[in-house]
Amino acid sequence: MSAAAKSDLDLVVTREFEAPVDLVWEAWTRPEHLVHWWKPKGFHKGRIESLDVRPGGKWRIYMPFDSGKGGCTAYGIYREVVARERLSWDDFCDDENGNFFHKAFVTVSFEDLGGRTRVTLRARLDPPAKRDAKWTLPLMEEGWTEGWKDNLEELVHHLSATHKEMQ
Amino acid sequence: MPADHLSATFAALADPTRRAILARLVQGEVSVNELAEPFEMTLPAVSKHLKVLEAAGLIARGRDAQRRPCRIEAAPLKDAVEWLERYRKLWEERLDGLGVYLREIQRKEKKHVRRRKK
Repeated sequence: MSAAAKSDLDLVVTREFEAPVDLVWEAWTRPEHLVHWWKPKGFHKGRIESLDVRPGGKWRIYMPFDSGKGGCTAYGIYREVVARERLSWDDFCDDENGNFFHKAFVTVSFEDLGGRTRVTLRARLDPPAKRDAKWTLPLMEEGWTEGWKDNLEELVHHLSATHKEMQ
Repeated sequence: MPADHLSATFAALADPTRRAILARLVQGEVSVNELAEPFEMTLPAVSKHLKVLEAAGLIARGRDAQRRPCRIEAAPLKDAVEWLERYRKLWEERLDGLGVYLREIQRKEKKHVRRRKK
């Protein structure tokens, strides 16, 4: 990984869970657990088509839209699997019509805090390229404000960081 | 949303000088001369960057032939930011779901253990 990839310019989300690391690890790696929480808002409970948790193993989850009309498929390949410590994978998402929603490389670290667990997720997004003719921007919620301008400098750095890492 | 549009935005943003120009334009419209000053660049060099930004739709140029004032165009930048924010949100929502799920199964487990003890 390059120095830039480790910088704060990646998407980083950290959470602490009131659960032991063994259980949190299972929640990420066993289909009977994963199926309950993997769906984001706006989606129904998914259908796990494969979850082969080992380096080079494939995973594939179909997520139907709440509306009942269609859905999209999240899929990828596991790269690093270190039990109760680290999990990384290629993260793709597309739909039945071949529309692309994102491409990313995701690393999740697990930290045992004695009965509690800290989870840190890092994602390096791959911006759409010209070759992705079917690439689509998912529908946005209402309420986008003009406030983003205040943080423009930060945002343009953030945007371009993901771009640089691709080259 | 065509992919070309976003890839042009990302390509234009890959250069630090162009990002600095955009950051300057957030504060308001300026002429090419005014833009060139803080960057210690020649006017042709600045113009080259401006052309890239203009082609990506990130800035617009005024008609005044002398000044050719530049202003920032919000829409493409907003699209790029939305694209990233959407992905962040996806993960925030999933992790919210994981928190709920972990609480639930631990509660169930405790109940189960209590029942067995009786």
